[in-house]
Amino acid sequence: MISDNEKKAVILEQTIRSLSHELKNPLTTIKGYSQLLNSKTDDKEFLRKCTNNILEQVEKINLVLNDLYRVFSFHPENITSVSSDLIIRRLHEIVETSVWKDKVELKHGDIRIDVNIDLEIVIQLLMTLMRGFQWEFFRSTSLELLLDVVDNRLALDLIFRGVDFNNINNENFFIPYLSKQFFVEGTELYDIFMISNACGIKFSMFRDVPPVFRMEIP
Amino acid sequence: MRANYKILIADDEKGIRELLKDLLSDSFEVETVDRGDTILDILSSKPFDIIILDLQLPGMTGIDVLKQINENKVKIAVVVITATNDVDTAITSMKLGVYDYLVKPFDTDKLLVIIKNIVEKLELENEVSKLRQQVGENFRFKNIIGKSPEMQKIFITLEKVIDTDSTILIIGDSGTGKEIIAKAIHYNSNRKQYPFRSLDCSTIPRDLIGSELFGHEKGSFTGAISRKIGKFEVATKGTLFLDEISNLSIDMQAKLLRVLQEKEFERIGGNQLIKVNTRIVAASNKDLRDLVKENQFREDLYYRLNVVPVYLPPLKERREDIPLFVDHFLNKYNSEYGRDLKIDLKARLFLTNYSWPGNVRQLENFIKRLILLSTANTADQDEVKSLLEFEETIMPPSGIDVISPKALNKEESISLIKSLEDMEKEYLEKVLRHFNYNISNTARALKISRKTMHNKLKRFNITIQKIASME
Repeated sequence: MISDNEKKAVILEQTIRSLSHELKNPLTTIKGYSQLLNSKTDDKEFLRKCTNNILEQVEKINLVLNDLYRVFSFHPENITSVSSDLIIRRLHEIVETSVWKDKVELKHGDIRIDVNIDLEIVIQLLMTLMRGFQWEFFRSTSLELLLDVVDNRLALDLIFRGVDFNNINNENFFIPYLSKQFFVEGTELYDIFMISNACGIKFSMFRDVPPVFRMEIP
Repeated sequence: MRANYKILIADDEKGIRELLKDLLSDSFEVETVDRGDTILDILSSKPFDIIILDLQLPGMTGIDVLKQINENKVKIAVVVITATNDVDTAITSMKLGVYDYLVKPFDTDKLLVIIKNIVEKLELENEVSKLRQQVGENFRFKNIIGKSPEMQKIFITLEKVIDTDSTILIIGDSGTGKEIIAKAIHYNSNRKQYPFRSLDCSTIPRDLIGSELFGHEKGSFTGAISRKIGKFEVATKGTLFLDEISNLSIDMQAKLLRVLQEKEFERIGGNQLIKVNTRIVAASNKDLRDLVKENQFREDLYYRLNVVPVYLPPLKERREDIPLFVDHFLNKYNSEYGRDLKIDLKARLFLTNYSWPGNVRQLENFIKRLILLSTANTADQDEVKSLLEFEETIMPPSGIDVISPKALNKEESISLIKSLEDMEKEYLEKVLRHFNYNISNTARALKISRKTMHNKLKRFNITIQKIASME
């Protein structure tokens, strides 16, 4: 049995490792081009290229840190009571009009529940997930959206079929850049987790084969 | 560094791909890839010499790419670059055959040194491969002297079996070319890119032969100050030639039989079983069947070795090859010694009809000696005959320049009782007479300097009678 502290230590280690990897890449480029600056001092074009690349990578590091910190200052502004019918209608619209409509399927039972959410944020989080997934490299993957009521809360299950998130589980899925193999930025699940948290929505991964994420909306 | 080495840079980070391309494209052909799952396709479509591989790649991790490179036996040097600085990853990578491992952000100078070392290693490997090919070419059947029907039959037999890994037993008198045939078997087979090793079982002391064959562990016996890898292991996937196999002790024969049967062995003093895939070619100048009857050779080992027997005829039974050998050795040693000696027709005929008890080795040594000692442009029959007769009286037929008691007649054997000094004087006088008291030629034959020669003449009080030279 692993204690809570040990679990936290593991999460912290994975977070630092993940972040370290993300930052070491631009640092490598900065270091490399700084060293190359001395090699072709009479080639103005090349010097310009070195300088530009160094500045670009500095900016990238800045963006990484900003992106990670940004979610801490998020505050939902428009939390209202929303019926499940409206949620279902909006989800249908999103799915039908998205470029991934062949890959995404919405399922639901006969649900009658009202919830307190900022619906547009939920839609944005869903879009973040769909936009961020690397569909072109995981061609046989499909996403099932399953809406149901669980413990008197509205549960939106996001079920990825046909892919194995082999290094991600319910304890570490939110670590930034850990899921970079499956998502373009690698911060999609982190963003959704943090923003959901800020909105009072519980976002968790509760099964890893097939990978299932659940938003529980109170 | 040469520009024709190709490097593939595999990193999902655009900045790093650009950096490495800028760093290396002056000296190498560089291509880049940003995903792990496309690397193997790229490597199979065109050859790369080096890959700089990030371990964190989308599509397929660098470790999985490494495993596939190993499974598919892709010949490429791998340099891993990674942001992870943990021992486990480093060990896993090294076990998968990675050349070197750099942690980001790495020093570009360090990467350049690694690439330079890889290029040097590749150039050495290319050179070894070329040399091996050249050596191999010398031993192709078509390049081995053997136009006689007997030798042609042997080549036909060997061509049928060279790629079957069956053991081959070569029986032939001393000097018939058993090792040449063993090398021909190796360099014409699909084992040619692997090592060829030989062991003359008659020259190694019996108590050390086990160590030579199987190696030993450090401390396994007095004098074993470090681990030694034996010839069986060194010749893995290649060929091990065991010459004079009849000289193996009965114990060693038993051990060899076990290795041939089980295809595994232990080093002396070791307890780890080592698998072998070494092809054995054995040779003997004695008929092993006779030794089996005399209980000096194990019958089961004999049958294990005698899967494909090859009987090399003595030179006198393949006279058609003698002129070819004469030409071959003339070319070889004329070139080596900067001479241009020819042999006239009568002399060639004489050589062709000579018995050659020492076989090809004797013929080779004779031609070498003739080139060294002849002062003519063309050696005639008299000169050839004279040198051969001299060899018969002074030297044993094996062509080794040692006086053996067996080569001496009755009077000479009585003179063994004389002092060494007397023997030396007699021998010196005999050689002088043979070379018509030509001091230079005599000195050369005896492999001493002219100064030493003069000292000996003075010491033994030998007076040179000046007569007309043979020239």
